[in-house]
Amino acid sequence: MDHGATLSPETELEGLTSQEAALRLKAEGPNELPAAIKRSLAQRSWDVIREPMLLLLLVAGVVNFLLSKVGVAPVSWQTDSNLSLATVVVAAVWGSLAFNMLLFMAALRNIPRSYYEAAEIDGASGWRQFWSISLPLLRPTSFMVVLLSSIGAMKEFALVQALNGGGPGNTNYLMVQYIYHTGFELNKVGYASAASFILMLMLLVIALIQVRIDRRTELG
Amino acid sequence: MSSFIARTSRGPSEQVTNRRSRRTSRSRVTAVVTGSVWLLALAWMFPALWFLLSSFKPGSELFSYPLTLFPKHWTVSGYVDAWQRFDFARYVLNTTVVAVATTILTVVVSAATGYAFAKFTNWWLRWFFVGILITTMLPTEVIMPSTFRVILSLGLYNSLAGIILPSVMTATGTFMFRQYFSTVPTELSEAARIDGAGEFKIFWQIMFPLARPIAATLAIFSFHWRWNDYIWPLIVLNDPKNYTLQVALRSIVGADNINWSVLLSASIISLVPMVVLFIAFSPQIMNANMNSGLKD
Repeated sequence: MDHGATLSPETELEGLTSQEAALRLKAEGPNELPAAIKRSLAQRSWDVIREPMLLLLLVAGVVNFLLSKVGVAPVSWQTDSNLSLATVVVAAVWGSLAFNMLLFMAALRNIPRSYYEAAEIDGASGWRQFWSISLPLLRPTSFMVVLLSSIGAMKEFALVQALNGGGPGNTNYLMVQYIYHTGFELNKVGYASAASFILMLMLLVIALIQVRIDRRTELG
Repeated sequence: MSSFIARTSRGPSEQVTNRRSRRTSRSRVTAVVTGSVWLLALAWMFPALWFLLSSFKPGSELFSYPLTLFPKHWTVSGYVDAWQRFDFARYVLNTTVVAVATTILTVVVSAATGYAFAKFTNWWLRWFFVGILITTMLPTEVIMPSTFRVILSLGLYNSLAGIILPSVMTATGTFMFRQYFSTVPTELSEAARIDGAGEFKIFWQIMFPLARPIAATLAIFSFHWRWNDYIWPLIVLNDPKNYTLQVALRSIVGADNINWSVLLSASIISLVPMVVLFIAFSPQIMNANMNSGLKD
């Protein structure tokens, strides 16, 4: 059953238990670190049971269940590459909302009330106040959220790994999935390190462009 | 969020007191907007709610089809099991030591660094900032072997300090404080400087208290990150006596036979301190109304 695909994360979890992994690490000593990291990475898909994102997959199952009730063919969340990418996007937004929302809330408190009072006296509507006061004054926070989120999204690993492993096949591999695949599954550690460095350079370029844009708007 | 909407939409309706019809249509719009925000919030909560309710289902019911939101048979056997099988007190103590120490250090270090980036100008500061940003750009796992060697040479292997130290400096925290301090008027520190306050005094007595909302935000999240940290404690800690909660929690998870109801219940228990912390800190974020102390 397709719902089953979402409900049986056991397939992801052929890794060892944490205790076994730790015991192995103890036996092998720190020199076996890459292997230990690989093992713990296999475990990391587990983090998802703690972040209730797995339940997002349950929701996908429920949507299918409801669709089948009204006689519509179920949506293939896991086998359609566009849909499974969309699942990742929704889950990522869901997971990062709280953090970014708190940042914006803290920044909103720092906007002087008097600005809104002055705008009210001038007869500005709520929307107008939002667009002309809140949004421009939130710019430092928006800049940070955009920059950190784009860096974070480019190197997202745990979420993709747990939801569909970059699947179906390798259609939705992100850079980090590719690095993981070459480094730990094909054992080309040097190649994977080089790929990580390329990823870092790409992120650096993205960050520098954003810093430049931020500085330009600051002056103008 | 709702208070924000209330604040922005209050103005016009107060203005147009003599035009009744326009006023009611506006309040209707407000009601629709508020209602849809509530709907969205509920939809957002749905997965977490399911998670909570599932922890009260008996194991047989968890994956039975069709799925149900509410348990057919309410049970706390998962909780009882988890509590008995598990030395919660020890692991909670270890994790608390790590999370609290790291959080305090992170907030202080990030605030000082972010303040310097926001309020001092020097040609190399911008590049130093980019350098700090770079630390977020390599996948964490790639840096782990080198960090591990450092921890090993410092003799911190198998100690809680080995978990605390590498996590103190975060680019995210520095960035948060930098952006926040850049919105605080520089006149404040200039006024203090004229009054003869030293740089440290300006930072501790004027700037840091102003940044309370962002400090609370970072504290919540730093605590959350350290509380849920898994890979790094697993690598550094060797002695089960030093295990943190997350590392210990995984011992519930067998290779093929997973006791889902125990795992769900134990996860819920491990979330409790996070919820308490959030409730304790949220007034700092939501009620702090400082207006930067300037009349402008």
